[in-house]
Amino acid sequence: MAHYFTIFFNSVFIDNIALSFFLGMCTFIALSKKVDTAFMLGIAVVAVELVTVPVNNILYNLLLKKGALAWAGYPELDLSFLGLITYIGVIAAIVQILEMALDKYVPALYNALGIFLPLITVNCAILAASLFMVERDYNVMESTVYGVGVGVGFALAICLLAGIREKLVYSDVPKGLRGVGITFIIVGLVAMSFKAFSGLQF
Amino acid sequence: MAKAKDALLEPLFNNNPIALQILGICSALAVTNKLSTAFTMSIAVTLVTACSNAAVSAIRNHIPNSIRIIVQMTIIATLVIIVDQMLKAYAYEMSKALSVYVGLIITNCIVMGRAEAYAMKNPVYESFLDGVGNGLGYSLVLLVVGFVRELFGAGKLFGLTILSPTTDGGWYVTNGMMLLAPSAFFLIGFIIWALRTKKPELQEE
Amino acid sequence: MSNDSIVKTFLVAFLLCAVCSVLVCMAALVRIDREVYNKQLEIRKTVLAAAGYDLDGDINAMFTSDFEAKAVDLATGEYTDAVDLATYNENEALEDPALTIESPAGNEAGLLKQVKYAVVYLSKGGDVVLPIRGAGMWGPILGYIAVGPDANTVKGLTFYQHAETPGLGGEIDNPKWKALWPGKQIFDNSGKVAIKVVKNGKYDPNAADAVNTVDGLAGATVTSVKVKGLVAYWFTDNGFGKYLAKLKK
Repeated sequence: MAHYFTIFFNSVFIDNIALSFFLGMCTFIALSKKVDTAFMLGIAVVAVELVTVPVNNILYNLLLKKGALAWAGYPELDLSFLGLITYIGVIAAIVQILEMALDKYVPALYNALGIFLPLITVNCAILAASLFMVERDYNVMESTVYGVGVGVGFALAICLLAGIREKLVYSDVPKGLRGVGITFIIVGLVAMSFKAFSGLQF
Repeated sequence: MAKAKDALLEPLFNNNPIALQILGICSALAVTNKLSTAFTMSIAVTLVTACSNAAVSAIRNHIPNSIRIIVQMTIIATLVIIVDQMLKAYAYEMSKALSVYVGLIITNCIVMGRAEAYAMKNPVYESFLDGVGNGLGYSLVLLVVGFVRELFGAGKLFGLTILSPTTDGGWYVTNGMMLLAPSAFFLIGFIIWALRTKKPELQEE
Repeated sequence: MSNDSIVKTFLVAFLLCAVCSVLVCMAALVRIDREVYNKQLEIRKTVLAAAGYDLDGDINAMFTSDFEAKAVDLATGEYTDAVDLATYNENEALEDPALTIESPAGNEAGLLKQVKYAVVYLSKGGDVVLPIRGAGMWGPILGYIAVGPDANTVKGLTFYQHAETPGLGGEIDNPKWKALWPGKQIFDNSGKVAIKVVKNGKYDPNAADAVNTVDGLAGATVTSVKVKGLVAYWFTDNGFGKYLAKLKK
């Protein structure tokens, strides 16, 4: 149990996908103007990570890894170069299915999430979670925990930023810096403060 | 011809993908602590954007609407894998320095964004130029950020010592913050500030 | 035919997949061809650098004329024929349960498992270059360390893979820092592993154990501790301890 907790805690705070690896920045900056939209996007990211990371993990271990096709009589085959196209295909397909399923069964949530779901396909945080999962050699259970952790970390970061940006409306920012300019500088400051987590050891 | 020229030059300053459309930032932050990695990444992204634009544009009249996104995605992913494999084959050390960020070009919004917004509606030649232009606009910001970060962070440019740092017995006290990712946020923030002060019509309320 | 008809959709999808898969496979074949060569070249470069060679010149020629590879069974310290040196690769062997053992729990290098057989490189001058690896601050650190014919004096070390903070821990690549290593002694008079990295500035050239001590990196205490741990670990009996003891005789 402690092992899974460590993976989760690490991926939320220490290796925060947005603030330590700076992935998913396009959506991170574009959709952090209001806390409630940021929160919605956060939920969507958690949901997609929860499904895609373990599915990609299973595909990698059963089909792509060197020697994974031994059961089919090809113990020497190494298909890991197909990883990228597989993961992105899986992500696109799962986002599409999730969208259709939500539309049919939970229309309220579907309407709330709206355009965020398709946007997630091109969010590099999602693809990166699958790539890091492969690099760190996780099994199915670990990758599920890791996927949720990455999603929660992203949700936490974007809500934090949205909170700051909502307050920022009341400040007198130099004209040229208004909007995205000041946002970049705020993200830089928040990211520096997250560096403090990196000293934690488990 | 005017259109072709616009396609090439507009994205450099007036409509820069990173500074104004806020696209493709992720990789811009991670690979700019050295000019050499920033330069390689620039070439890779420019190549992928130009080729994917040309390819999508070439078959734009035959792409069924229902599988539009996945078709674009497949073309982009193929090009990225080719670039990735070529880097691994012929620039092995560089590919190690760029690690997963070459693969992440697939989800670089500039590539997908240009395929969807421009290449689906325009002929091959102009789409290709638009891809090159956007790639160069991205490269411009990347190289400026990389230049500042490597020069002030390590006292070097392309690995050659310019400001002799104190760790090697010189006089320049290196600014370690420049080598960490948050500095890239500040630099891009300042670049946007400068651009928008010069062109007030771009300012936000 | 309408673009959105089912037949056309399938046709486009099929053709696209066919063209793309051919392109991807061609790229992969080129890469696989070069990969073995690239990895070998990287190892050779690191070994030469660790042994104090100047890397200007033909790496492969320098390497083949001056070095000989041998596999060592770490459990006994003897040379072994258990693996074929032409195809054996330690980084790949690490994935194979038959070729690895669990490292002792809580070891100072932060390793979970390690290979049974290590490839060492013997130079014409009698030096031996040993592979070392361990956990760094952000990711694994991999490198080579060269030891002189007395099996006690460090000739140099070089890392070929690490993810330490640029400008701080990343300075383990700095030639100035690496130059602190040659001449240091691995073992003390009683034969115990004594080599260590101290916190930056705590190095005292007049101390009794100065010959075992390397000054740490400025602003990179964690990396210095990790490097100390992984270097020391590989000279214990869990690493090359037995092999070096035999070499000394």
